[in-house]
Amino acid sequence: MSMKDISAKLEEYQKRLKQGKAKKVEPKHVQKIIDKLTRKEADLIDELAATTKPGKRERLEKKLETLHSSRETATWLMEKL
Amino acid sequence: MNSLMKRLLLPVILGFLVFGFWISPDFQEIAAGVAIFLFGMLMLEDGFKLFSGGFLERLLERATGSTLKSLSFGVLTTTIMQSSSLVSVITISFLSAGLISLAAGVGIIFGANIGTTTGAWLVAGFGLKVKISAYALPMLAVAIVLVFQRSKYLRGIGFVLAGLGFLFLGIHYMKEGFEAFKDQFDLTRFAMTGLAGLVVYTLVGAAATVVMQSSHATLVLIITALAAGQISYENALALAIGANIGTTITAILGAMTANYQGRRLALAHLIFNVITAGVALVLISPIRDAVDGVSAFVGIAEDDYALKLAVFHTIFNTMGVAIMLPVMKRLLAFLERTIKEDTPDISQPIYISESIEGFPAAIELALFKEVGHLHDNAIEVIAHGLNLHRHELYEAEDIEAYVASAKRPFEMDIDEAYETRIKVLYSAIVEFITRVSSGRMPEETVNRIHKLREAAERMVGAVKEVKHMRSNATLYTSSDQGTVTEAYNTLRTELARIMVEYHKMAETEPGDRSSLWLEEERKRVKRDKRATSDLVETLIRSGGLSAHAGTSFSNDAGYAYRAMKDMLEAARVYFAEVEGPMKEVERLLAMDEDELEDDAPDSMAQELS
Repeated sequence: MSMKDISAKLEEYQKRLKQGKAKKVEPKHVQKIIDKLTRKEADLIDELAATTKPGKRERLEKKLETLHSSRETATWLMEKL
Repeated sequence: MNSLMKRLLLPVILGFLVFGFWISPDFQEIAAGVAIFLFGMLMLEDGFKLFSGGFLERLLERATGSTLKSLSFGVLTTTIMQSSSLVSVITISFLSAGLISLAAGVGIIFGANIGTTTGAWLVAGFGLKVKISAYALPMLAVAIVLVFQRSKYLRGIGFVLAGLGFLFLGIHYMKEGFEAFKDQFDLTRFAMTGLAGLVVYTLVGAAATVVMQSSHATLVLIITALAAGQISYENALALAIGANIGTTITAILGAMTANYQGRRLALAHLIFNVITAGVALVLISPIRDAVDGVSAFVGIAEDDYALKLAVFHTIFNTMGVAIMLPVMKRLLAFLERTIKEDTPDISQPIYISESIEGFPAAIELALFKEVGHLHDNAIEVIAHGLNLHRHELYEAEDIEAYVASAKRPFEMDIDEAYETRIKVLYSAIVEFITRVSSGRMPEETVNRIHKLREAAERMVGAVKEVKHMRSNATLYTSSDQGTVTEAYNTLRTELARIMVEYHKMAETEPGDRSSLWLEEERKRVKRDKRATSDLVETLIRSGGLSAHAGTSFSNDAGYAYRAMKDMLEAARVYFAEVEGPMKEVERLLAMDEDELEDDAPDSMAQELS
């Protein structure tokens, strides 16, 4: 997700929060999600290490890339909150 | 026979009332007192239901960790709510929804039997000694102001206050009625002594409780009649024992719409109350002596039979718990043996039932499980529709190789499977949601229920899409026909991979999984779908696919990608975070549809190149 996208979403969330239409997110909540993403990344790294088939390796690498990107976005979000 | 009795019951009750009104105007006052009392109980029940969805459920979930905790919880809640019937019905609904264990449910019911004795103390000790109508009227006036407030908790307090006000007013009218009645008739003339008296009055007490659906109301009636000298102390004791048997009828009625666990609990309630009543009848003399002893010890006057009845009620219910607690494990085993676990007809709903309506936390949990049940059926139909065995698929090291090897057509009529395994269940879920949504529920529960409906709808959509592609998928993959077989196998593999991802999510503990794990699958479906139409054209032009096979494949790819998208959305919604702030984090981090595009090469092109 691009910084532009997440910034826009964060802005929209803060508007909803001010209107009382959203629950307040604290860094600990984001941390919980980061932990879940990290756990999945670890599982995929293990699976990748045991995989030789190029097609499957490519899939796992893409999945890892997306998870890593989600985790980076989550880390950025945690800093902003 | 049953329906004849049901049809006769109402005219008999109405006839009895009309006869009573005709022979005595004071009977009207007693009957009105009972009616007002029962109306008060209904309001009390409505009031407490407004607090459900929060306080009540959280307490129930946390306070049933051990037998002692469950027992104490039953005592406490029944003392507060002044209705063991309400506590029993709520317990059955929570047990049916799987929120508590059978052992916890039985513990609560035992506790409720002790808790309900506080009602006798309330009436005997307080209701008959002070002019309670003086409290009832201001309570009603304040209650009505609160009932019209917007806040549901204030409305709840209003209903509870109004309920108590009507309870007090009902007691007042019953008391007045019996006082006046005393001058006209002497019911003690009909009093029976000895065993006959015990048996007859026990049956009368049970029947009165069945009719009024409240042992509390029967007990109030007994105490006021006793205080007015209309019945003898011995007969009052038998009536109280009978009331304990009659009260089980509410739990039995409540369990009729519940699952096997609810029925087990209702049976436990019946067994407990019948055994307790039996022991009390056999040991009536020593219990009476014990009542006299305790009464003398706590300073209750020799002739204060109303308070002595309260002592009796407490002693014999506590004795029942003391008898049953040591044999609780045997009782549980007996219940499990007698009422077998329903062999689930997987085409029918398992978790949702009328018994949980009115209890938001139970509704949410039961719906979550029922939608999971629907998803399970749907994934089975999808897998079989693609000629795949789910368990082989989940165990496969190489999904692509497994799919290519699964050539044998699965013996199934997918239209029939859809009708029997999916549509019946989905319709029941939608009907249940429509029905419960018309009730009062916390906003968060309403939102969650809507999301669960969406998760159900999406998965049903996926089955419909696979239904359309089944015949071609079977035709082109049951034997090797070159490029077209490879193309269809690629679609089957993609669908199979999503089923595997769903399975992995379902197998992970709720606290460990995140719907964000599916982001890459969402991206992949999007880019594969985008590339497929271009690829089909290329293959037709190069002669890799005939125009006929190419057109079929193009249509079926459309169905397949919609099925993939529906399955992923169903999984994302179903496995999404439930707690408010966590839900917000997922919402912030999840990609929107337009963000899913990227430039990665599509798998279909790679597979066929």
